[in-house]
Amino acid sequence: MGLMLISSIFAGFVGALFGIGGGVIIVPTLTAFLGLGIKDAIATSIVGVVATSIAGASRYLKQGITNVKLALFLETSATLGAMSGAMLEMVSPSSILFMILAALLLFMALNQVKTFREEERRIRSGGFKGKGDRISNGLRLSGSYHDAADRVRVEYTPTRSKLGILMSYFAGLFSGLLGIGGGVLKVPIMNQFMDVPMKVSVGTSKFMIGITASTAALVYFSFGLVKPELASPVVLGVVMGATLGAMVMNRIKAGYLKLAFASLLVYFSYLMATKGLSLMVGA
Amino acid sequence: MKADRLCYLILTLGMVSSASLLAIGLALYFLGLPYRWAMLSGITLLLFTPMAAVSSTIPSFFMEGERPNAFVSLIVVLFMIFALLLSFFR
Repeated sequence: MGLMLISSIFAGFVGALFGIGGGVIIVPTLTAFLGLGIKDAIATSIVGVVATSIAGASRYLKQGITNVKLALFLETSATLGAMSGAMLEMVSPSSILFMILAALLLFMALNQVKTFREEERRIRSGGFKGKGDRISNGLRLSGSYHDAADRVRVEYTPTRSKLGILMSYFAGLFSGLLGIGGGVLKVPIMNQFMDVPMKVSVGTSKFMIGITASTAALVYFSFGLVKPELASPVVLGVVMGATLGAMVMNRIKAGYLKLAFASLLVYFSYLMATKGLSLMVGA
Repeated sequence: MKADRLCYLILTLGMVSSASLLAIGLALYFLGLPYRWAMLSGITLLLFTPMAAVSSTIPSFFMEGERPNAFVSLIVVLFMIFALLLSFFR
């Protein structure tokens, strides 16, 4: 119980800091250290992902970091992608997809490193405030937040909305096909392709994850796959961790956050590559 | 009420009440008393919170005069319901 609580606090903290679900920490802990079956671990983890999203997003909403309109706009195609992914699961060669995703994550990691200094410069110079495009202006997706690390009010206008919604579809598709959380893709999509500040991307991704994960979790729950005795300490742990993570995130310089996120992307890329290779060898 | 504020209130309320129920459940579990009712209610409440938050934005955006965003929210809610139904009948 103690180990479960500690790993859940850590998963919630990391999840809130980077806008991801945290399942990548919860599932291995439950299976490797607590000897749980993979089905029980996934069912427990998905409930934890919903909890970390709610805890993180509520804090970020209070700080004005989450952009609800942007989250809902991108979620339309992400959900559609996840549904298509789940339906295509049976027919697609997973090993190649894992390798493609590994390469994509590595590319995104390199981009995060390349732009980490530029992010801070743009925060200080108001460089995120642009003209926007027809969709972002029509839906009034622009917003602002107070950056606690740089002590400035950052105004921003998302751009390339069409590319963003297309990429979100593919993020959802990969999620549905390969069972990975969408946050690790959603954050760079907003930050690198749509010109949304890193911290807003993290806060918005956190809100989006809850929407996607709650649907999946409700299915697991209604089929009786969620064990309340396991889920309860995980939920309490991730709520504590996510609340703490969301309090810390805005105090970190956006550049450092990008570098740390790049390391996370490299780790995910490695995970995907090893999965892809093991499937190839197995086949 | 603004959509952001409403979402914040619903998420916070959902999180606090479900976490409280789960904590009560755990306490009852360690005391050897019937605990499942508290845990199950806590998890149910937790899992419906995001859908409640998204649904609440529909009237909120509509009243703010942001009809395109109300429509986007409606699509997300419909997709969530559709995804749930799809999973049940697979």
